[in-house]
Amino acid sequence: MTTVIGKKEIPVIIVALLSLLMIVPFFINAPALNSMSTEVQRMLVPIAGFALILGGLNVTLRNITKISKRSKDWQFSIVLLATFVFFLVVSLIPSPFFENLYTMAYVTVLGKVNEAVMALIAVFMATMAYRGFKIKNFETLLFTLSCLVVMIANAPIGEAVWAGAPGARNWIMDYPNMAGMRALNIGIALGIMAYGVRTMMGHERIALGDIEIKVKKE
Amino acid sequence: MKLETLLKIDSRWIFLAFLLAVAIPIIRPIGLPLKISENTKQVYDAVESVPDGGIVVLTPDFSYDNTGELLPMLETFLNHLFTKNIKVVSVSYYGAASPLLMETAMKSVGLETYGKEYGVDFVNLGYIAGDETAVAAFGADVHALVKVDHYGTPISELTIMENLRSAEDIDLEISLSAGMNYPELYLRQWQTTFGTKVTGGSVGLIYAPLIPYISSGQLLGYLPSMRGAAEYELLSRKPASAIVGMDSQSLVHLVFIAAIILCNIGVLGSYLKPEGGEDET
Repeated sequence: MTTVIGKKEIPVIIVALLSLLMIVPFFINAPALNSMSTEVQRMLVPIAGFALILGGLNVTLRNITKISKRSKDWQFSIVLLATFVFFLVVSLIPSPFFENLYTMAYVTVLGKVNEAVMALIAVFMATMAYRGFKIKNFETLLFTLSCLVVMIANAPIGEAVWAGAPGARNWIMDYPNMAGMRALNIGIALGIMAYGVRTMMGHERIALGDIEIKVKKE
Repeated sequence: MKLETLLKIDSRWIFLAFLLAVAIPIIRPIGLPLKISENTKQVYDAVESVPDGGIVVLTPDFSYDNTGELLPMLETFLNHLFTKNIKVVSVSYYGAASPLLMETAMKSVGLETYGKEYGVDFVNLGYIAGDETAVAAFGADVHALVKVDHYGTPISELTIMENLRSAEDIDLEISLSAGMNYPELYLRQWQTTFGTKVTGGSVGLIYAPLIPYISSGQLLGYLPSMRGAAEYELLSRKPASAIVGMDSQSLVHLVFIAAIILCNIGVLGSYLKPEGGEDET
């Protein structure tokens, strides 16, 4: 038996069976299979929750190691760990005061920092527009013209600048853009299907944690 | 002035133009016209077509970095939904602050403004970990997956949850997201399997990749960025923060267009120089 089903085949069989359990109810209306599939999906949600805990532990351990070894930029690790511990402690204590403190810290500190960083991106996009859209050949001409048309049409003032802008934008979005996006989406879907079938058949060894192959590729 | 000098404009002038384009209309609104697109009308009609007493699931899958574009959208959807007899269930599959953002939006909109009651007309189920698996599990059996709401109240005590057993009971899913994978999740797991109608809105960046889904009729329209929210505010006759930003958005777009044109006049100038070649900036 062990020669037929070895250490590497068991995970492949588990993956294949669970994958089929997820896929088959899409195509066949079998109540027993449906309920089994739902039950497995429900079981996976707490596992995802545990993955978050595992991620938190991993971040903590890596940053403690970084601080103890005085690695490059170790000071940032102190800030990270302090923030991590603060939010963890505050969110775990069931009290209205700590709930408010958590919300206030998140909204007024992290929320505002996030918004500021996003706003900075918009400012740098302005200089990118100036430096990046230089027409040097036919391709950059097409690229710049299509960007200009979409930009004019998307601006609320666009129609006042050029009445034909929305029509031209719609043509760009509905034909070249949609054709490209459809091709990409279908290509990605076929790729995912192929990857899924290969994983179920055990050909994707990396997905099963085959370190040897990983090392060779690196 | 030599045309090629336009290739050497100091970035700080562009930053200044950007600042003025954002600030002036906020201080002194211009009131530029705004045309409502067919796409926005489609989203509005999708909400209008929800039957009396129907259930809408609202999924804010975004974080604070996208509040500029998506918070006005969330608020305008809530304002429209609460004017009708519709049950609104909020749930998020994106962990970074989405339930908090829903709280922020609810403070701004106010349940009491519309005479609605928490647990009867609205519920915030918070964040559910597990991404696509969680979406699939929610769609298959809500009560098996979710036991309490965001505040720890058992959902068995909330009357709004009595009629929401699976995605079959959802009359409309409104997805607000900063990543295109989220509307795709709902299309794959709820629409394909249960026939749930899906609409929503996103940041401008991911709107273009979603156009094939609108064209195929899978998405019942989709609001692109703050402009979509502003058009929706106009349609639902509840002008709010998105419309305020439209003048700024118009002027900022003009700054971008002017920057592109100036740079290319400079490029043309460098080609027209007798010795040829382009100055590197």
